[in-house]
Amino acid sequence: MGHYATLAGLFVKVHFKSQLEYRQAFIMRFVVQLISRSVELLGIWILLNKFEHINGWTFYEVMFLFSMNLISYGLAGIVFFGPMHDLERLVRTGELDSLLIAPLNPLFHLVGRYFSSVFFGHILLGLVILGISVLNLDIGLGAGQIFWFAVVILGAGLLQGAIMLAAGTVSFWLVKSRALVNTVVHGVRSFIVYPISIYDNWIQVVLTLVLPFAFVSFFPAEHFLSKPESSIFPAFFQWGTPLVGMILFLLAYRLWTYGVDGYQSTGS
Amino acid sequence: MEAATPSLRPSREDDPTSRSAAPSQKDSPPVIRAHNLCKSYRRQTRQPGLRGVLRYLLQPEHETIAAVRDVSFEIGKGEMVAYIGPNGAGKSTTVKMLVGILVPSSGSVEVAGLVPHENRRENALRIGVVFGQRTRLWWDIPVRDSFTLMRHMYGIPQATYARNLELFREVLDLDSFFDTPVRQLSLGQRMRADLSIALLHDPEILFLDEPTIGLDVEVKENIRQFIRTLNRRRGTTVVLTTHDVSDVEKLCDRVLVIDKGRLMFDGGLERLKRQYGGEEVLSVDTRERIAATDLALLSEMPGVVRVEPDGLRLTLSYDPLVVNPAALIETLMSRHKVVDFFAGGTEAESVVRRMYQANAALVEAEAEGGRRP
Amino acid sequence: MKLLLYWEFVKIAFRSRLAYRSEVGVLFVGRVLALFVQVAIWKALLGAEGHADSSIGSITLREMVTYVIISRSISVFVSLFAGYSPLWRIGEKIRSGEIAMDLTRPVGLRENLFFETLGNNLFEIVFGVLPMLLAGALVFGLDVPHPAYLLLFAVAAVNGLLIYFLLSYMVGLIAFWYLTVWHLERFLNDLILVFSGALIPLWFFPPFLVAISEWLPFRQIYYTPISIYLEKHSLPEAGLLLIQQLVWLGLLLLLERAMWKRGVQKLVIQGG
Ligand SMILES: Nc1ncnc2c1ncn2[C@@H]1O[C@H](COP(=O)(O)OP(=O)(O)OP(=O)(O)O)[C@@H](O)[C@H]1O
Ligand SMILES: [Mg+2]
Repeated sequence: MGHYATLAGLFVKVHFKSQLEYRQAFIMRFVVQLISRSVELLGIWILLNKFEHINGWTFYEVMFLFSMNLISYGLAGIVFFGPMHDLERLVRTGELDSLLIAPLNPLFHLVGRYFSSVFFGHILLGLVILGISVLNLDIGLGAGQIFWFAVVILGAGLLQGAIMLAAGTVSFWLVKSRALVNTVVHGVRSFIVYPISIYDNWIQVVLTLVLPFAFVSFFPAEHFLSKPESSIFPAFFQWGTPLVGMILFLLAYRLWTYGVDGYQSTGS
Repeated sequence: MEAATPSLRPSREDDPTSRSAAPSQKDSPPVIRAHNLCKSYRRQTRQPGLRGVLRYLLQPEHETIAAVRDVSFEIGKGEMVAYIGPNGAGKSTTVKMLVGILVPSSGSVEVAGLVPHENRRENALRIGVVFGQRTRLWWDIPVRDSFTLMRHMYGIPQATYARNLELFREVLDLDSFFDTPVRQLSLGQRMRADLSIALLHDPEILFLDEPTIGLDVEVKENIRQFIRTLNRRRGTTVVLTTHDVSDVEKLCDRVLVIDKGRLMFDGGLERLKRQYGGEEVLSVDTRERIAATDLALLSEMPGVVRVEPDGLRLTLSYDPLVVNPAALIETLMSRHKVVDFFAGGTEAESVVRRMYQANAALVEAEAEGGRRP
Repeated sequence: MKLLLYWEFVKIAFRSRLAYRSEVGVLFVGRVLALFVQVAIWKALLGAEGHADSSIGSITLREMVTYVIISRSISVFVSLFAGYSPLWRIGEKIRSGEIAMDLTRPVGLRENLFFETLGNNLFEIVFGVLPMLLAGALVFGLDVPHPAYLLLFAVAAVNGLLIYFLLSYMVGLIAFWYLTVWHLERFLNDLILVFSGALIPLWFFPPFLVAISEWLPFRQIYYTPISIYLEKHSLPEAGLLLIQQLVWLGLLLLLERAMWKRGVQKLVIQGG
């Protein structure tokens, strides 16, 4: 394990060393990502400036949801987005071979080699948005609350990471899977911008039990904002994020190992 | 990984013709064992046109390609084995199963006592792998940093690392490009760096898939010399695939020939030559055109298989077991005004070519005749 | 005849899309999901009363649902994902140096890319828009306007797509000066997302944002055609809107020619 820690440090060092060669591109990506996310927030503001609330959630409450989504997405994105985005190419060209002949967990290796620190911007922006919304809301800020928030964010990060991992793993079976990664990751994410209580029951069920994105922000936010439960699910779901995150991640990891075992490499 | 491993530095008295010095498979337990190994690939088939699209969307069809069929062999510690065969024969597929990249469809593999794909990590620590077409180096950073990463990845003790690094820098001349980012390296430089990286952790077994592809004669020779010394001094087992027959001649005692996924031959190079040998080629340039009657005479000589005149050049194919090339030249010189002569084509190369042709015929016959015992 | 050649571009683009048809299903699902999200949001916002006030009068939920379906349909053409947009294609050509070859051809690069985009869009009509329109109409219901408005809408929508093509193409031309333009693609898409009315109709915008949007070309892509479709303007007004679109097209064309000239000059002088 200690050997993995040293390696992780080295991977980070090498990552920044190679990013230095593409400094301009790195900064552009960083800025562009921040703009994209801010534009999403602007959209929320336009709507709630006009309509005041959506299903009883005010602008700052939706902002709180948004920040949880953003921070956990940033965490998962740093680790998994790059590798899963590149996996399609690695499988198609057979470059993945070299990860399977190293004395390392292939996923750890893949992440170490292709992780994208750019997503750090999401976390920064998310924290700023979180700060603004908390200042404008009446939320108890005890040590217990803050600790639980951190745990929830980690669980939500695992959950988002699991979705990325699972979507990316499809590259082992589909040649062009990038569309899938993008559709699933961005598409499903757009479902949880607003409280899931706005959807028909069947969508709420899907978002809770099938692709449980509701645990990323909606259920835990219900707790922090002391919202009267408005979804069709019982109150204890508010505590489920870390557990759901772990379970989903383990499932995604199983899928990944299954994919690796079925990996066909290439003829040249 | 003990520091006591003998020095690898090639010394002057290295005899370039000597082959692997380690004991052959008969008197040491096998380190690689393949038993009835099979691998089939699944491929999606697609029809053209709009109908094909709908078909594909609704119900994708698959075909299976048997790339390796029922291959069995054992390789002893310290052996140097060439794995050859025409394009698409299944060489890379076999190597990928031996190193743990691919999971066999059926049959079993064992490398150094482990099943590679089930113990990828442990297996990786015991083997070194080089794919000539691909690099394991980090693209955007200097070679040096890739080495450091490998050191930590394989947990190589400092002393071993320093000893190997010094050796490789000297023998493979890494210094000239050690601080260059990999994407700026030439193919030969990259190959040497990749070979070094595969050997940093003192692996017991070295797998090389077309290690000399695209390299110039000098680098090829450098690499072969290096591998030979490594085998002699450390007893490293070497399995290499190649299309360059001189790799086989210069490095390996034993040859495995695979074609269309089946193992067609397993034995020494000498036996391969005896079995499929036969033809060698001799060309002579004469001052005057040789008359047809003389050509007929030549072609009737014992051992001469074919006589092909081309202007002032004459090409003779003969069986070296029957006729001695020196005697043949002498005969020619005594009868005609020979201005020049060449012994064309590497001997082994023609052997291999003949072997592939023979196999193709065999496989065809098999396909036509349906089942065969 | 040049037209035949152009038709070849169209066919080639269409066919190469067919080669990657595994995307089709995935994209369809993604688009239908987006439809569900948008409709649910408007239901939640307008739900209780079934209509809302706006800068141009009362808007019903049914109108908003129609707005969403039409806007998602237009977005099929606009958010051609990475690899197919004119911006991406021209960026690649400039970056790889392939552009030098294009300059030696008798066909303009702009025409070449335009007909490629046309081929892509034909593909999208068959495999993207029609299935989605059908799904949307069946699940949520879709209003159809008076034929005169439908005709005007069709013209406005085509104009809007031409404007989008030029914008995307021009941002791609920036690659002459700054090589990695795909970051700009996302930036362009973000601008379009806000100021075009793709997600939120401009009639719900606060006045200062509406004012900004009037100075930008983006609203021509979504807002203008859809508001015509929903019969939110009188016929003469709608005619004026079409003229406005043409003015924008003219302006952009002028700008595009200027950029192209300078870019080529730079390429010729500095060797790319
Ligand atoms: N990933 C793959 N998917 C599908 N078919 C494959 C794959 N890899 C190899 N094949 C097929 O399997 C057969 C054996 O391929 P392999 O790469 O093992 O040949 P090889 O002996 O290494 O050939 P070469 O000398 O050309 O490298 C070929 O018919 C090839 O087309
Ligand atoms: Mg091969």
